[in-house]
Amino acid sequence: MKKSMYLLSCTPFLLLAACGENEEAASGENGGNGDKAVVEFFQVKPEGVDTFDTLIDQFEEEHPDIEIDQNTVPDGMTVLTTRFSTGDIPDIFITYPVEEDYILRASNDYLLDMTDEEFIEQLNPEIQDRYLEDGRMYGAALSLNANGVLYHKPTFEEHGIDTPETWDEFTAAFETLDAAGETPLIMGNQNVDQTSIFNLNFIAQQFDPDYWERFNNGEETVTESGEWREASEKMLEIIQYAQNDHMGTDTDQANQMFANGDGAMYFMGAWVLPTLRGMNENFDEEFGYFPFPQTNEPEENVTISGVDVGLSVAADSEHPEEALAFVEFLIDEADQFAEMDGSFSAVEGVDVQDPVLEGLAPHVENNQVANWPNHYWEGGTAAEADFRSHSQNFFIHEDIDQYLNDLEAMFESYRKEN
Amino acid sequence: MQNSAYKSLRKGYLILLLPGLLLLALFYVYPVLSALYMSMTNWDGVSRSHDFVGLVNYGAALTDPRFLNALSFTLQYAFVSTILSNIVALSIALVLVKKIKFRNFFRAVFFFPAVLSMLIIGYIWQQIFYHVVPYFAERLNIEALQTNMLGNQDLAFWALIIVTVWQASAILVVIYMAGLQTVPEDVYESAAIDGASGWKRFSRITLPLIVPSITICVILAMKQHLMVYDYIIALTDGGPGFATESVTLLIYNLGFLNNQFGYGTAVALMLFVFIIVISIIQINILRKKEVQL
Repeated sequence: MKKSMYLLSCTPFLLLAACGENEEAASGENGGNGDKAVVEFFQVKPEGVDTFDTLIDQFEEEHPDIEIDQNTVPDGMTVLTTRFSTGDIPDIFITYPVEEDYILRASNDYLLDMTDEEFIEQLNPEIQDRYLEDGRMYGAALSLNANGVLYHKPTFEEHGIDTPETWDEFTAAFETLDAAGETPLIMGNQNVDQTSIFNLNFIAQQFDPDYWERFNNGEETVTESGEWREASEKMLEIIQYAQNDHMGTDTDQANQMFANGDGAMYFMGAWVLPTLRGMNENFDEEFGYFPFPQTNEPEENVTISGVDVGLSVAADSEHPEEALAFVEFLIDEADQFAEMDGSFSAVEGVDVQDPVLEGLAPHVENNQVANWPNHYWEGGTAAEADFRSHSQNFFIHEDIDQYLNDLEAMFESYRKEN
Repeated sequence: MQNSAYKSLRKGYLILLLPGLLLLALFYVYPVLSALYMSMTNWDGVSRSHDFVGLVNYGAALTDPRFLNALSFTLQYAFVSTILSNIVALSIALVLVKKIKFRNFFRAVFFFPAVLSMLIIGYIWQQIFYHVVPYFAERLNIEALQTNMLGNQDLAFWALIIVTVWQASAILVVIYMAGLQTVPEDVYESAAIDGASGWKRFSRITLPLIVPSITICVILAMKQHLMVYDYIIALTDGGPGFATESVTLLIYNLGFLNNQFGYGTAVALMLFVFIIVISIIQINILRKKEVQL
């Protein structure tokens, strides 16, 4: 049964392959590689290269006729966009759901429809359904990133602070640390990325996907909204506890300071853990995570968690079956992947293995998670980049009205385009 | 008889010209024309189809505050860094053509920034602005410089200018040195006999005679700085906020980040026209100042 289904699902591709045969023979593309199918895997996670290499070795051992060619370049997402523009699309690549880039690619038939693949059923539907676009799924979620507050355990113990669960406890902790002469918070605000990793925590807690739909239709405003104002006020309240010259510190410097224990807390996503571990060998003992406490109701607080590795296959790929086989293999080996990558898995039944990341597990297990709010915005990556720059301005001038006006104008400009 | 020889010679020239013309057409004329067409479409860089929209993109750019902000930043940056780097380079060149001790050593030192890779320069200067400048500012009690200049909206501009002038001067020094060495010794001698020395000797003799060098240096520097991209990527990434977003960085962001390929191309072509106009004005002004001995 399974085999016949497999063959059946391949038929259209066999036909396609037959059409392309002449061209291929002319260009002599298969010449160098014998009978092996070479599948390009374009991935944008430089810290994941070793993990994928290990898994690719295992996969190639099981499938001697397939060669997976992992390709990682700096600024990968931009390179991927240009490769779409020029029609040179990799066979497998990382795609995030909901985002405009994903929708644009799916609606232009660049992505292979995976809805009916068996491996989709192994994935947590809460997460995987984010890939739904007109009822079909063009990507498979493998792992999730998570965003919370990293803290230095010795500093917290020294001042008798427990990990805060409410907003009041959170601000009290900052106050205590500040009064004791500690640096309560490290921020690397010279890089725009840091601004949104912090700010979006409030935005994600305040607004749900329905809000963004109304928002994108122009039914909600930023300037008239109490929630946006409240979020901005909370941002300013926290930012005063950051180290001196936080606007002049970039991410690398901030990472270094925090790993050295120069500050008590740091807002950063789980992707930073491998870097910090490289800077401090006792990292796992000295540091922990707690979920960002946006409000005074612990049940209402959310952890931002988006798809970190989600895989799509090019519709025009010459080796779609081989590519899908690799996606299926990665999902089957999600245990291994989660352990090596130190991330939450989107595959059901796979638990987090990372000692630091465990601090965020209660939220993730309770489904107190929210997607990155910017994934719902019109304008996608561009709107996010603008949001970050406006946030950077806001941190300098601390002018809430100006900030909300700027954001309103920005969102409006992206609405007009569509 | 003569006429037909001339004709066949001309034919020969034309045939020799052809490969060059073909290459020019293929790699220069065709891309420019296709960019001109792209700038009149709404292509997003990904879709398989696009619509022709005429001059809409150009009109949109002229009312886009982000473009105007980038344009005004780029112009200020280009003018200030062109003027400063030429003054600095000329001053250094004046010293380095004199018979001073360790002349060759200093020539090598001042050329050094030109051969460093832009990324390395970016990293070095980031460290300098983060660690070194605040360190001295604290000891000298200069409040404004005690934090990273790159994180300050007003000072980031000047931080960029410092790095640009430091690197861009290196090449200009070489051109100015070459120019200064073409000024014949006997002109100076007769000027000395007439009683000219110091500033007068420089402004009346040296300067007019090296105007060709100045023309080259100013045009080269201006063109390079109007298209500034690498310094900004390496140092500020356009921030803080939008304070140091240049037109080229905007073009990149529009095309590859915002999925507005058509609009980005329109902005790029506007910059292209802009640079041509500025270059023509510069050449016209400086040509009139040139003198022949």
